[in-house]
Amino acid sequence: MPVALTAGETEEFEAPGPAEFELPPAFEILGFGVTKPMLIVVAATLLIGITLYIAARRAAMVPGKGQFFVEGVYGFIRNGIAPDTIGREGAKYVPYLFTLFVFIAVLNISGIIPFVQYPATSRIAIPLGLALVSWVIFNYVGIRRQGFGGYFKNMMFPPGVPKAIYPLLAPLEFLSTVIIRPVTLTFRLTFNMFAGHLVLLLTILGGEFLLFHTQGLVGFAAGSVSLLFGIVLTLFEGFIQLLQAYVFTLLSAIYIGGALTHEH
Amino acid sequence: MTTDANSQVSGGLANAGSEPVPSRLDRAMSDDPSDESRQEQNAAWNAVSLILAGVLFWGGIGWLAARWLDNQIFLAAGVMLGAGAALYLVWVRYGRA
Repeated sequence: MPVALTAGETEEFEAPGPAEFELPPAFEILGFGVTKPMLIVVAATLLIGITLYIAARRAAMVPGKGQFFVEGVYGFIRNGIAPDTIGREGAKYVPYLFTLFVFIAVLNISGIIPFVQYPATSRIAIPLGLALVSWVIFNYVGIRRQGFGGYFKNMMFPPGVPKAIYPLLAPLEFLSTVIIRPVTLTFRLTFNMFAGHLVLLLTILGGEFLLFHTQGLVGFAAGSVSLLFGIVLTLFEGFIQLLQAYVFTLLSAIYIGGALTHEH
Repeated sequence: MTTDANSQVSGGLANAGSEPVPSRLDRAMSDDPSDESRQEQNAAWNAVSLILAGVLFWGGIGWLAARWLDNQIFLAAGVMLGAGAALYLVWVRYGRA
């Protein structure tokens, strides 16, 4: 929607769109373009690995601030998500869930880190890859626990249903578990990050345009409000980014827990 | 500020040392609680994807039938059949005692 901001004669505000996410490669390695989200993933992996290594190596009885923080996050998974969703077998899956949560959280937060300001998880390949890992784990766990036939039988044929209705119901359970689950995991994370980043771009770039590329009091006032709103939205986006990391982890845990117990 | 936090932390540790407070996971391991509350939480998330699956699957078949037989009623019927079947399935899985 073109907004008529008729102050600078030739200038016109160009609203940010999906193209903002399509960055040219920063550099190439053997003809393979390395882009910003890839660099963010590498940097995040190094950052997390080194931080956790240091926190674990210097583990003391009286934890310092860093260890206190890391243990807090770990405890959030170990004493929160895992027992709440998987139950007494949860301990086994804490390492995966913890890794998943921290990795997604850092990649999400990269969207509001100054000078990085690009949520790597807004590129669909990253959530898709993580969703596929969770998908493999919960299906593998279910098949190992209930047997291949038993897993799909328990999934598709809940007891206590008239046999004639099974053709109506069985495809739904299969579709829901095998296809909808990984797809919704992927889409929920990707497009939350995508849309959130776009909103930030719009308020901040729009505010900048109103403030510096238009004349008159209205542009100044609207631009100031827009920029201030951008700051508030940035904080809100940080909350969303942590929330989405939590939701992805929680759902992965719920799927694993569901595969371990037949739910009926 | 820092001394405050440190004293709190060491206080908590001292307590844990004298009489270890079991974490929720430890309790979950020893008590073997019924899966009731857990299942309820899982149900809320799974219900959404089940209903989505219902509408997509039978709605999709209805859409194909509507194209084939050139009558839009099949699409409507498919979507409603799928939503109904999914709701019934949610009830079968999570609604019954």
